[in-house]
Amino acid sequence: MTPDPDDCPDPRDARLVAALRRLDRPAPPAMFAQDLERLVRLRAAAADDGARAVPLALAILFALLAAALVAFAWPAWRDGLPALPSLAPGVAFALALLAALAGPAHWRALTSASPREPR
Amino acid sequence: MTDDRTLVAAVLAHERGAFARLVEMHQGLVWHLVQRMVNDAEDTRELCQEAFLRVHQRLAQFRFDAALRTWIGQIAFSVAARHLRRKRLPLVAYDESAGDDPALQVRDPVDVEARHADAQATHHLEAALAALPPVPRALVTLYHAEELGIPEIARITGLPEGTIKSHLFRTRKLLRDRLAPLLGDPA
Repeated sequence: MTPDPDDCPDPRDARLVAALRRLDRPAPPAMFAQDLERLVRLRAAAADDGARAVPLALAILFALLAAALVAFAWPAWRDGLPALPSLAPGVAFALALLAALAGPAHWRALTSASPREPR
Repeated sequence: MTDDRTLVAAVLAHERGAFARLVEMHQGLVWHLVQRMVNDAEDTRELCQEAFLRVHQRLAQFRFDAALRTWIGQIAFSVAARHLRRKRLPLVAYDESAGDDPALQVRDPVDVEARHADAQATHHLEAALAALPPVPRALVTLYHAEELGIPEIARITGLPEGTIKSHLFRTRKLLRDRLAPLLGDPA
């Protein structure tokens, strides 16, 4: 778009404006665009890796919690003492179930991911 | 605008090469604007990269209420302005004495007619531009070098059109006064 001459009414500006238009335009280095695209893809791949790690981390966490609860409650259950609230076995079972669900979710995330970028 | 839509859709669909194409189309404007604002080659590279990464990150939010070029220019301007604010550099304040470098005060009009007059004038114009505050420098770049219209510059910079016109008027006067001998000012 050509600038509106009304915005530049002083005739003494003509030479200045011509000189401004002749100034060199600083240019980005060659491959700047390609390097940026590569960087964007690497970042997306790293973000994918992070997202894939979440189900595995949850599976491990739930499994550890379930195991800890069972280990803690086992002596009381063995002796038939109601030392723990009766819902403890239920909680342990729920945690184990969550761990069992999170594990396959992690596996699905690994196998259904889009093809990886070569690094 | 249709081209913008096609390109944006391709980038959002993670089509290979689409983002590089978008960068190639707009890197000239972004580089020129940022370079003129920050006046430092290394900072320019980093800020241009940051601007385009932000473009990529926010592209899904682009609503086509302006040209893609304007939107990208807006992001580049705000990235450069934030960088200058962090460095506590004044964005607009004119220093009337800045640029009164003896090297700029070419008094011999014969020089202007000499063989290298154009190169010399360009060199002095670059120096005079560098002595301006970042925002007026950006406005002169966008209006006179990139030849964008005032409404588009207003969207990019977020400044009112009247303010832009007054900056342009004042900046041209400053440059004209400083470079009068080189430009062969008839006044």
